Amino acid sequence: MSNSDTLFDNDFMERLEYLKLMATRMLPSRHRGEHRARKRGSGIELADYRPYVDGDDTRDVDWKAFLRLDKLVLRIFDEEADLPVYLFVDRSASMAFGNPPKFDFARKMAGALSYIGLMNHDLISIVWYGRKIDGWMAPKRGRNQIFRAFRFLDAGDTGGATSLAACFRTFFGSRRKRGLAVVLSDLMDEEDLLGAFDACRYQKHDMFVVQVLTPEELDPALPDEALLTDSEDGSERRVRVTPRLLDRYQKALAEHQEKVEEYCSRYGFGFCVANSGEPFEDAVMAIFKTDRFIR
Amino acid sequence: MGFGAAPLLIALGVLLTAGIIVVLYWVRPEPQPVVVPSNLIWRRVLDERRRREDFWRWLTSLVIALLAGLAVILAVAQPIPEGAARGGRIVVVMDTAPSMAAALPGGGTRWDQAAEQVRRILTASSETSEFLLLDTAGDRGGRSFIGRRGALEALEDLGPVHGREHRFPDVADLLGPGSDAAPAAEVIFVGDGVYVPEAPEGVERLSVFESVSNAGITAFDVRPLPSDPGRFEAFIEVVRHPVGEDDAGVVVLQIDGAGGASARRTLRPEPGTPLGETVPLTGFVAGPVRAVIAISGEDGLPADDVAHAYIPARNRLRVLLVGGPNPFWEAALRLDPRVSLSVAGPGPDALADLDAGSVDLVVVEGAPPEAMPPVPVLFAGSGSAGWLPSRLGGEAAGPGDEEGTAVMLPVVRGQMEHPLLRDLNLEDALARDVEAFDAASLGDRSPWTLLLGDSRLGLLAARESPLRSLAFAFPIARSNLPLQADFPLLLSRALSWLTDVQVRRVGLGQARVAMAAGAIFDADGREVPSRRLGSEISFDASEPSLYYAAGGGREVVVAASLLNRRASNLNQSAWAGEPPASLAPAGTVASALWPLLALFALLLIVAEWVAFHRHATV
Repeated sequence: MSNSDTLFDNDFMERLEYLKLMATRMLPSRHRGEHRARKRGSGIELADYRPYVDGDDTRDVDWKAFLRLDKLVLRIFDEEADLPVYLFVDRSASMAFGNPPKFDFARKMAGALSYIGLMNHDLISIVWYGRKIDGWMAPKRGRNQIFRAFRFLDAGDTGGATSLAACFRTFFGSRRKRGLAVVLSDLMDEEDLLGAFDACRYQKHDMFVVQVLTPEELDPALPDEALLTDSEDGSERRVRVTPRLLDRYQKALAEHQEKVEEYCSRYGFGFCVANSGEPFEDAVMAIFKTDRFIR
Repeated sequence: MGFGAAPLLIALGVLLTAGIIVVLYWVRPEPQPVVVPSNLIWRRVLDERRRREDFWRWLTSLVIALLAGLAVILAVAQPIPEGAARGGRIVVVMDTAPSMAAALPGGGTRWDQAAEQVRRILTASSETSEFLLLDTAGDRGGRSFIGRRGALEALEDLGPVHGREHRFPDVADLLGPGSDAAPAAEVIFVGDGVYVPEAPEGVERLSVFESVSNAGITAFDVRPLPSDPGRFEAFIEVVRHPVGEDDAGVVVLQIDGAGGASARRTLRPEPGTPLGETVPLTGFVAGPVRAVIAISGEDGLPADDVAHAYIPARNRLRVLLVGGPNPFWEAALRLDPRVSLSVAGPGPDALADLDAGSVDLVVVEGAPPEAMPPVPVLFAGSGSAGWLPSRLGGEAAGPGDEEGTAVMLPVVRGQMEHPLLRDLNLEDALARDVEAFDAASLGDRSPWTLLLGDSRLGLLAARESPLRSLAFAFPIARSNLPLQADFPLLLSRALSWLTDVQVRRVGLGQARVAMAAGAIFDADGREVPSRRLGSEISFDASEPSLYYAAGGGREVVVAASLLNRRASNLNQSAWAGEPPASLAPAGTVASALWPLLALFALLLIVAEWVAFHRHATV
């Protein structure tokens, strides 16, 4: 766990500006930040006209057209939808590892995504989770909420085990507005990870999974004889480290990631792996490149 | 399959091996603790690997450990293939004749070879075998079957024995009548065929005979010159038994005496023919004499290269003449230059306060003292005492004519070579006032031995113990003995015989000395273990040397030498044409393999160690 009091310092803010610029360049043909819902409604952008029928709101009648055509024509606007973004940040003990810690990396990503989202008038919620939901920042909208989000993220801490399934069951057990669920976690979850994703999928939420791993997890460097102690449950496993064993580890890790990636691909979700040893903005850009966070 | 090692040793080996393997697992390095974010992936890897590889790794480790343990156990247990080991009851007869002490050209002795043969038979036999170890001397072997370890210990107690009759023991008789063990037992005879040339039918014979050259002393005696008892000469007999082409055949004889006196001779005995040589011991004084021979080539038996003797004469004799002035005795005794004479008056108190340390000899003529004096006595006269031979009573005690003159009776048969009487002529001797001893009473149970007399009458008797004494049955003054030409010689011999240090020559082996109580000392003054056998003392005189028996105021010098023509002829074997038995009987292969097996076990343990560090084993 990072004890840094200045996790979101000026340097971080400069990087956010860079990300914002990069996001604009990557999506030149679209309005940045505004997400149009498929539902027509009470927006401000004219989408179409139709004849007036009884019961329609007379405020949408195009009176100028009535004067010209002597017909009651109703203006139809695209309803301007707020995109709810649910940022699920894993705060289990395993996230405290790495230099910088995976937790700090995940918080910075959450901060960046919050910043981008709030700048685009999205509805941002941040959820701490371990074995359960440990903290929740209620949905916020508007650019002036960014520092509230930063303070919430800055106050986070690590500890305990992980259960995304329990978290999703609790969180999506209540009625939530459909949106984008972003999971920032190492995905070292003993429980049914794909079952947790299903809980999200059944509620018709979009989802983006970011697996944050340290360089040591991606390429372990261990002594020949090692007694591995799990930081979350304290379980111990004695291993005699050989190149062959490390290959098997790499394969097992790849299988674990492929399983998640395959699931996400099948259901149209996003998935990427972030190396906590690399700059967090690279991981954010990778998310943008998937064309899911910004529509 | 049998095992060469004892069950306890095998069990210890197994426990030791298991302990070593356990310790090897214990001493392996502890794993380094590493805290990881999650064991999720590692668990999957390890579970998968365990499923795939752990069985084979465990199997490899187990196989190596088992092989290492098996190799160690085999190295300790020394298994013997079925059929190669002797089993059941085995009777081993060891030839312990003196010829088994022969030194072989290649080192060691025939006995060493025989003992090694038996040792290998014992170790190569199965663990359940029983052994009866016998020797040809007949008194040092066992009486019942014993285990292998006991047999090995009993073998260490055996060795060549001198001074015994050697023959093949009657195994059936030793095992007792009705014993069914004898027919069922396998009998092995290990020897050289010199003293015990034959073995009963059915006995497996293992020969350790190998021809060896030898030269030895077969006779050695130091004796006074007949003409002068104060001077001595040595007679020595040497024999040589060469093998094959003889060398120069020269035997160098060296005789050493007390005070640095020595004599040296170069002898050339013909092969196999004893050569006698007389060497005057001019300049030798009383004390030990040692003869040593040396040859230029190999000599098979050191024990017959040296012989011991002793010059017993004293240079000064303190003689006490009891009975008052006696011209005959005084004149006769003073003729001997060794004599220092003193005279005591007659009467029972004359010897009452006699100090044994101040007088060497007492001469009594007339009435005998009641008790035997504490020093040697020369008595001549009539009268009786408890320590003297009994006399005949009445007329029978005075043989002779009417005037009481008796002719000196002849020398008793068998005493012609007595040191006192040898070559003396006393045929003209006459005596008066003879009260003859009862010759019939001087039998085996009497300490007295009759020297002159017949089957009824005894005129001169001698005793050996506890002190030498001579008793004439008549007063010397009443005889014409002093007028005889040989009387000075007789008197000189008598003085020497009575006062000389007693020397007993014995062969090697168990020696006995007629001495009721006393101790045996070797030439360096160390006491030799001995035991009493009635009126004798028995001790082990296996090495050629001088021993001294002391007790009861007496001292007897024991000269122990081999002096045996048969013992010196080491090649007179009935098995001479046979090749010696091989020294590698079946079963010893296992014994020879144990270092290889131990090395193999060590290599396996090292391999297991390396395999563990290369993660090939668990």
